[in-house]
Amino acid sequence: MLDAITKPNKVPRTGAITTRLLQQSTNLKQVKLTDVSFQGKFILWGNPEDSNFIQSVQTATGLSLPRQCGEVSEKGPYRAIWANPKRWYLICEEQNETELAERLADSGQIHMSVTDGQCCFHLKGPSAVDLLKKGCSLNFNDTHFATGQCLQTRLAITKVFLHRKGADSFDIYVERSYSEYIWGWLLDAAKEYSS
Amino acid sequence: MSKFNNRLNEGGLIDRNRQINFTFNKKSYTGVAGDTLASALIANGVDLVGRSFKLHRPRGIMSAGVEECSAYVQVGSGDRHTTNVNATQIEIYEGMAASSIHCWPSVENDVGAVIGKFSRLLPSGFYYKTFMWPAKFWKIYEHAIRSSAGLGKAPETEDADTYEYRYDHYDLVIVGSGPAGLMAARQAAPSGARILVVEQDFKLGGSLLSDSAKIENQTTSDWAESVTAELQPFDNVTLLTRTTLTGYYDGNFLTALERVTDHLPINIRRSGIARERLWKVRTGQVILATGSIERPLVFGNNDRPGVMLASGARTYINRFGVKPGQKAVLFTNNDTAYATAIELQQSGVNVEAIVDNRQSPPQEVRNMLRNNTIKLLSGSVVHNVLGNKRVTGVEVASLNNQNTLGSDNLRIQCDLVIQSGGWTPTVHLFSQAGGKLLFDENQLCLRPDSATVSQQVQSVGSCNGSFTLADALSEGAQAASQALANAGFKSTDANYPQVSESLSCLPKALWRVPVRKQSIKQFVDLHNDVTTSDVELANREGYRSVEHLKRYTAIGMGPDQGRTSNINALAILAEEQKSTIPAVGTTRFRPPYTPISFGAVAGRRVGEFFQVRRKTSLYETHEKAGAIFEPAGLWMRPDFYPEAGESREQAVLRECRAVRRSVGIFDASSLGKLDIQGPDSLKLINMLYANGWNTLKLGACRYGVMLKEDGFIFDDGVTACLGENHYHMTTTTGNAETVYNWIEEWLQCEWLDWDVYVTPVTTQWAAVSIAGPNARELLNQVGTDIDLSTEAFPHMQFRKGTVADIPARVFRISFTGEHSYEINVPSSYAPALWDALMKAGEKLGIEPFGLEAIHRLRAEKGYIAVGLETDGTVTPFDLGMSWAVGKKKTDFLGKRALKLPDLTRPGRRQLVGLLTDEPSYVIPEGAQIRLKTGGLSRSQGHVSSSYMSATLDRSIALAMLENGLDRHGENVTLHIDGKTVTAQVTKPLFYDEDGGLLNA
Repeated sequence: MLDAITKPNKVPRTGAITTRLLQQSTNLKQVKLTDVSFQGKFILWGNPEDSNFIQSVQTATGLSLPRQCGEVSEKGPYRAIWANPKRWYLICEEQNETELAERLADSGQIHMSVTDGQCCFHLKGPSAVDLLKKGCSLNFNDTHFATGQCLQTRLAITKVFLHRKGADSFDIYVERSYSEYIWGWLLDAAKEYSS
Repeated sequence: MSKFNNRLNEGGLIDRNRQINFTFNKKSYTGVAGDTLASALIANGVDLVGRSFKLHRPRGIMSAGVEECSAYVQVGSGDRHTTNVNATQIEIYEGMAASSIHCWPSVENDVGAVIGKFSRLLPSGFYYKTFMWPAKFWKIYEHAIRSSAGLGKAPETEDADTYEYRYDHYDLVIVGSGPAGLMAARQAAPSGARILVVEQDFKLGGSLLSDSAKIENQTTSDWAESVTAELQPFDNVTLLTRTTLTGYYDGNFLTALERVTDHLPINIRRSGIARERLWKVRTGQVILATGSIERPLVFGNNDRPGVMLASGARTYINRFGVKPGQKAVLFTNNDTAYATAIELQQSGVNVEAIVDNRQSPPQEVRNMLRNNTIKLLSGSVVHNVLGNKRVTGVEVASLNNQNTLGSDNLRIQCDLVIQSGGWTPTVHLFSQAGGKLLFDENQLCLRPDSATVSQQVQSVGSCNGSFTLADALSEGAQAASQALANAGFKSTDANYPQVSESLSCLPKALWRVPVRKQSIKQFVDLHNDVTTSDVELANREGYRSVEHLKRYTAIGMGPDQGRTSNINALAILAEEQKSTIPAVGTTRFRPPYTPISFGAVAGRRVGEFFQVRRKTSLYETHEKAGAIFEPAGLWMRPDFYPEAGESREQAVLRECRAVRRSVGIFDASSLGKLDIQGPDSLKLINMLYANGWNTLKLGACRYGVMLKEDGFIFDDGVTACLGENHYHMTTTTGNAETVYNWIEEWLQCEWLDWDVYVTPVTTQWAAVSIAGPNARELLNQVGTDIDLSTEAFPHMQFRKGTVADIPARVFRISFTGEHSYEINVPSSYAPALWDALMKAGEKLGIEPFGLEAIHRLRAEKGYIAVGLETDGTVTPFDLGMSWAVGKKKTDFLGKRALKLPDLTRPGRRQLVGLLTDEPSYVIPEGAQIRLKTGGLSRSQGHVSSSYMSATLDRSIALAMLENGLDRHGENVTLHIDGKTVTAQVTKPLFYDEDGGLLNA
């Protein structure tokens, strides 16, 4: 598989959010919004009832794949997010992407890079939950959406994954062509907290 | 300052030291903190607040709450303009500018008031009956009628405010913060359950703020304050004031409208803070403590300014510290108004008499009057109100057993008529929740039948028909314990506070008071100007169902929603039909309880956030190149790239020539892309496409059409074999999601055991297409490790490699008819790739081309565009694409349908080319090709694509023509805007007929 494993160092990459919009996020108070889209993202497919599949992923990456909606498992620099009964998102920092790609190739299982097709924003701050509640109908009470969970939902009018990393800290995964809408929407909805 | 100052020297929940200036109908007034617009107007002696909806009668303030159906006003102007707001609910703020609605030129001198003089000529249905013919004139009448009626003026400029939603989840929602609601909240708070208390007023307390009873030796308003203070420290309790619960839906889903900034002076409203917040709440349990509304009595001229509900009068005195008049007469059919009489008297209002239709009111209330030397006229009624813009007196007569007036007639001078016709529980939300109502013969009201509702909801207090304070408090606490138990929380034993005895209701039915003259109007619905005679007329004319009555007379419609008129209308209809209220029934209440602004409904989905504008990773690159964008589905795609001074047509022709002569570059990133892997991949692809795929070798690409089960084409595209059991499928831009959903539907519903995995990767890969005789040269110049020789990399093949040092998937496929490569790279590298190609292509004269150019280029080659040549009724055979249908395939989606008689019959429309006799004339797309048979003319085809071709230097068109495949060479006629155009039918291919350029 080629799939951008051998990343050229000298060719510049362009993120989905324009510099102008990125800068606007610095005006926010009570929430902090950052673009971390260059982290590595893969989709992994397989049958969780097949022990060979589970075992080969574990051997290659160290990850034991989560089996329930909302679950996330982590091992070393890698994270696996449950996406549907046969599908997972595997996430890592930008510098670990090549390594994870190689490990996935070693596993022999069906996978592909979606690093460039999916964006990831990090939202953090005391008003983060209030901000999300303007556009997301999930129940954010910790009995229903605990720290560590990742849920697929709708934010404003787009599909997103919300990974809750703390009481007021979230990773928001959104498809690249919808990401500018979500970024702009979050900035606009957060104006209330700007002073 | 105005003529009166009705403000009491002391008492009330207001701050006399904080004065607030506002204007009403451009006159300046001063109120105090804690005032509503209505209380401030009364304090300033303003009687006349508006004109009525239809008859333009003068109207004042008839209540102090949500039930107000008379004092509707508009607030603000320009970009902050709100119409039809209730003066009894809005708070005044410094600089507020309010005005009357539907009067011109002013509320005092209203031209439309002349209508009132002819009111006998204007019964219900008048307009529809009178202006029925000639039918076409209705449009003219309607304009005049609408402008003389109507409610308020629509704003003329864009709203300056923002609005938003708030989603939330609770264990328990308590609606209303009167005695029952506050008691429920106090009982539930320590449990730790997540509780939301919703109160429409700006202060918690409901009726406690107006009552004069005592709870635990405190005034009721002090008790409300102390409970509020008790609740505040609980993190699990959210107290929402200025919020109306407007809708109750299935699954305990509630909507509530929070008015966030309307009470603030405009100069301190901060941008970014929404004016209104529409809450969308899901909750386990609901307690409705929505209280009750006092019912007006129906008597002659009962709409005059100065006629007021007893509950309103007591609110003005006890809560706002204002006297609603100087000399009052009370008219009642029950006990509760007696307390108001005493309170008025003690506040310095002379109570001239209390008129009670009951022959012998209970001793308890009679004693109250005797102690305060108020005259009681029992067994009597107020049958007429005197005065026009303000009450000047009443006429009282005895009421005999036949419900007719006695011959006696007493005139009493007064400026205030206080009325009470009993109480109507506020059952709207219970009804919305699915509950049915039952008629309480003793209390003369509709109340909830709790057995009929399947949702987790309880009604408590007066909205449940339990009208005493003690009952409200105990029901509130009990319901809270029950709700906690239902939700799995523990509750402590309730602690019931001591209450001074409050009056019960004990009404005697009095649905309409007789009048001495037919011309005296008795209003049932002040809001819509519906009188008793309108209800009687509706019944006579056959509108006997309560639903028909409502639509015939407009009773209960509009912002007021019949809060005061509903029961009286039902009762009068029942009397007319010699029936009973339960037999007549009631209309089902629907959301919203009070009006919601369109702004709140739209929320944040306005302006740039109305819809997503999907952008490829090259959007900014195109922007810098001066592209003009065109929406394609949700995508924004470059339509063309004009140079200085160029028209669209000039730019497009230049772009087309660049592709045909040298090389052009095109952003194809929005094309749908699906990654297909797994052992059953080939099986899936064979089912999806009509043509065969078994022979597709590694590294090869093939074009295919997809059919729905009906045999009609719904998408097309190229699929490449990337590896063993690994394919890359492309779809059209607009159908990317549709195709993916279509595949998932089959895999999830029909082919569950197939081992195949489909992933949308549209935006993972950017696709840059380079097309033209110099495309290969360009690729060489920009640098690639792929062998580009025809032998190593022929047309319809795919190779992996690097282009400009970027890892890429290169597809040698073409939509222009030229030698062409579609270079796919991870999206974040696309701008670097594009720039490298532009730089390398400079000497070759490379030019970017947009959507319009590619459409013209593909039409020259006769390549179909899904959505132009296909419209959901076109088969591959219709397009002359029988080669794209696998004759030997055992199955594919749509296979059976292709054999249906209608899909194989002669005479179907088939794809042809058209060349106009006049080469410079471009036929409009959609034009019909006419066929004349005898004297009749009909369509035998239509033009699907039509352009000026730069390559041919003449116009070309594609069309769907009956039996078109067999008619090449024929001449056809089109009629376009009265002009006749002739054209020759050709095969749908105008350029490079043998495909030599493609394969070179």
